[in-house]
Amino acid sequence: MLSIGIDLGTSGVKLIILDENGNVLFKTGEPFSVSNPHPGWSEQDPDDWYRGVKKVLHRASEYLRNDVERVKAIGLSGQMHGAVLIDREGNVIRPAILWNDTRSYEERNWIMERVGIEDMLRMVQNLPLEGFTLPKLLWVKRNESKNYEKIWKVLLPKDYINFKLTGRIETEVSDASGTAYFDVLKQKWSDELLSILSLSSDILPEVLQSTDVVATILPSVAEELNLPQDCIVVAGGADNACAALGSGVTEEGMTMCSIGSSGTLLSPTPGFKRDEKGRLHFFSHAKRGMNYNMGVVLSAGMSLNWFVHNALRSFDYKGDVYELLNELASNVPVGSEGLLFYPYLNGERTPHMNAKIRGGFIGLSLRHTLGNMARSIMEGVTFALRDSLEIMKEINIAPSEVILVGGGEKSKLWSHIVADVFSLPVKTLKNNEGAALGAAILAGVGGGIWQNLEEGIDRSVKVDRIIEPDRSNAERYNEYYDLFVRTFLSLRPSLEELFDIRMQT
Amino acid sequence: MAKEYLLGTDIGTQGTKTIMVDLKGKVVASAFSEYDVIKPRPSWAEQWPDVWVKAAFDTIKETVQKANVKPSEIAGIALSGLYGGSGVPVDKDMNPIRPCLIWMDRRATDEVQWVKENVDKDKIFEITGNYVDSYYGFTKMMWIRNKEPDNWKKIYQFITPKDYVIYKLTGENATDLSSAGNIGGIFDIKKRNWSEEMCKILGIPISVLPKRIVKSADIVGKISKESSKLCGLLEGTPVVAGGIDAPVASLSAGVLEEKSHVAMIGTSICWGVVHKGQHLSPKLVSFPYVAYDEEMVYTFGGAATAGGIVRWFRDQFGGKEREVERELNISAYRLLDEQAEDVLPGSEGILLLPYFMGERSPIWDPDARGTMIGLTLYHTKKHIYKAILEGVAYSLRHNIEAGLESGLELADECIVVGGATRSRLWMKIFSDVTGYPIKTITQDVEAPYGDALLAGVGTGVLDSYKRIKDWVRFDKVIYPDERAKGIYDRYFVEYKKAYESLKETMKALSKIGSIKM
Repeated sequence: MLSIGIDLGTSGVKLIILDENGNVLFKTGEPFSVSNPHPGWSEQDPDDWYRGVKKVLHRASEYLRNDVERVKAIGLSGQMHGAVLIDREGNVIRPAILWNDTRSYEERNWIMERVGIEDMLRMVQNLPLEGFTLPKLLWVKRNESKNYEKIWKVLLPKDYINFKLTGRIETEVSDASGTAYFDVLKQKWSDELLSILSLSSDILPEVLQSTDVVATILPSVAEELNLPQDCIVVAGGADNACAALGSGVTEEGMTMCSIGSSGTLLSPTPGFKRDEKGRLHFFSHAKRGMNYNMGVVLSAGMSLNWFVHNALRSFDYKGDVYELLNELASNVPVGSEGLLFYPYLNGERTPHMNAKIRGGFIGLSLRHTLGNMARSIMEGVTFALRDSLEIMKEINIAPSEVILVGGGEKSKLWSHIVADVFSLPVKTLKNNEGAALGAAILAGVGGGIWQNLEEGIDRSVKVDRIIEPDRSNAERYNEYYDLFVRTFLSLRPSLEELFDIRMQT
Repeated sequence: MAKEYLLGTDIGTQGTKTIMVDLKGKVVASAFSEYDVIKPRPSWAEQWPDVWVKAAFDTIKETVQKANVKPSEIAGIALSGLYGGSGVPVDKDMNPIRPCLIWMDRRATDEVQWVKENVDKDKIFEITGNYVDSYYGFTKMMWIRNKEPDNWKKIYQFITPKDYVIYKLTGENATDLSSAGNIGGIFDIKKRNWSEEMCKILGIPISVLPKRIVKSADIVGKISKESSKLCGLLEGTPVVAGGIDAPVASLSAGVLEEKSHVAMIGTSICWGVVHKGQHLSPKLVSFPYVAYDEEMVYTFGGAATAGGIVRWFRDQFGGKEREVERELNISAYRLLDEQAEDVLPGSEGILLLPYFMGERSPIWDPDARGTMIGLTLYHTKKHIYKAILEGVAYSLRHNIEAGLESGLELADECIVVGGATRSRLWMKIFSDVTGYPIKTITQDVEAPYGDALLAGVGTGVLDSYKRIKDWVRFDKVIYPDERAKGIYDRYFVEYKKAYESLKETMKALSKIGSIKM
């Protein structure tokens, strides 16, 4: 028996086929482009997503040939927060406004004033960031009233694909959590907030659990893609929830640290333990009854990419620049010889929730080389993640180890830096398929391949390496982290001032 | 045979240049030799003197060969040099004991602290015209005494870099007033001699200082038989003392009057103004000028790194540009300039503090560190490069501001000399940031040109310092753009604020960053 996991990301879609023993038989991907019609805008056409999904599903059935009959279920993981607006005929009204689109900062401020932090946290347990669905919806209401009037339903990215595959309108708890109008604790849309903001709950879909079966795939779709007629689609989950699931992080005490383009620190909790100040996101997990606290660093691996592609533009090196930087950075001592990096290249979420702040190096000396800078970028990103860890300690959900995923774990150096900066053992995984694996596990459970998520995880998630922290490095990093935190307080006014000057000149 | 030609050699931090000019100031030939500073730790900077000796001898020889003139037609040579900090510590046989701690070195922080706690600020300022910082040579001498007692015992004297080279050329050991004055702390600026009192207070025996102090245009000695073979000059050719590179570069730009101010922008910035000794400031550095040495004082301030950072950026980030440079012979700096040309003033939100080697005036903070803030995903290499050029320009403005605050009167234009003048983009930025029209010199010369003049005056083939006025030709003046100036005014406010808010962090980083793991 087989399940298919699909991760609908921003840069592309990825598909894996998983067998009942947890082996990944096949994987494939298809890239997406993002449109940035104005600074701070970020959009994609949902029908491009669907075309991409059909392509990878087609490849999967071609690969399986006769074995395609063994496919029991499909599950999707998806980029969060994006607003997909569809009309009564089920057609997309305008391009989807994505999670990293920041045009709705005025709406965000308006909500904060209108509702207030305390009530937001009481009603939906989260603060309304520009990235969340709610401010985007209000932006459309204010700026594109004609489009707003056409809205029949507001879907999240992967839910639009589920709709195209099955014809059913629904969402599930883990993705609904990122809208800022879903009461995570009560597991339902917040009628109170919707009525304060004069939004109708009619435009919102029904909310399922992640392993719930949405429906059997539409016969026409099954035929077009050469999939079995009885293949079902499960509700799936938000990419962060699925990545955690695909890393086996479903219980309290476990923590996932993901260093991809962005970075996250995610820790499940069965109950209500969360940060009363709203510095961490508090979302439903893909496992029924579980929630998680999550801190987000917007530019994690992206910071290193920026360094390579922008700062070192046309840098002449025949080999792999990342490998080179890793090697150079490995020869630099802990702390990069007195160099600090702030990774706020696109503002920051946790813990600052501030779109105006910017990145920077502090402590540069003529003696520093690319190795110092590369290392300080890895260290700075890890310090920024530690900000989330410290909040978790404050609310008593401190982990005793972290599972490192997302791509950062491929760098031996960065894995050690995480262990040393966190003072925690770091585990890496063998089947490192992240969110797509989580989606495939959800599909496997929904499709009856496994009894429950534990069985799916047990089969498919295997620890690869364990990296223990080095005590003297950890002590040294404590000093640097302390400086990282304290310095930001004095630096922030300058960063905000520079933002304003740039906007005004 | 008529003496028709003069030689000037400037021993810089990163290279030595020798030029030959005729008596009308026309450059006949030149040669350059590049080297690097030894930086064993952050904020340390030192050099073995043989590097300078070799570069000086080589470039003299090459210049003479290129000029194709008879050595007998050369009237004389003068040498200027980087500020050698401690000077080269030598033993009785005049052999170096350890590398020279040059001006850029900032390690003597304990010694500075000791002076601040134990020596009356007014007293040291009253006698020397200067205060204390690890920039000054006397603190570096104290560092060797405190931290390397074994070396200290062996020390016969401290010889400045160019005086060490002159010793190798002539066998004579002397120094000039500007070089002696620049050591600070132990030099009496009014008496124009070592201060016995300050030597006692600071614990530096007067015997470790050269006994013979001459004027910059005085002849120290003559080319010896041995050195003649190595440098290609005739035995007996007069060698004139010269002085510290920054004032000699000012002289090369024709500065003989009060209020004239010149920024020498090379590895670092020395922005200086000439006056009669009435505007000394504890925030700035003062010592006798290299012309009219007995009356005029040169007061200057300066960023510890300027071109040094640009070079650092080229070496770290400019792999491609360097390759094009090698293949097509177009300077990597020019290629970087071209990319940065269209970047808006303020580099679209990036602010750079250029304290990559600590900072001299006006903040005098050896623990200050380079800072680059305001980075976003949007920014690319060209923005960072332009932000570096701007950051250095803010540091010049900071010094000019300190000079004006201490009462110095300044001419309406600022003259700029040094390697940086090759970048018109940078000159435009300096003008827009400071608001001063910038005048540059057509001849790509600077300090060696001033040396040649001193050689001419010293040997008597030129009748007056004033001949420099006939020699110098200026380029078209670059005027500031009001709109750009307005933008830079805002960034400059942030520049000063950012240092104030980051200074404690920089100190902490410099402390934990220098511990070897």
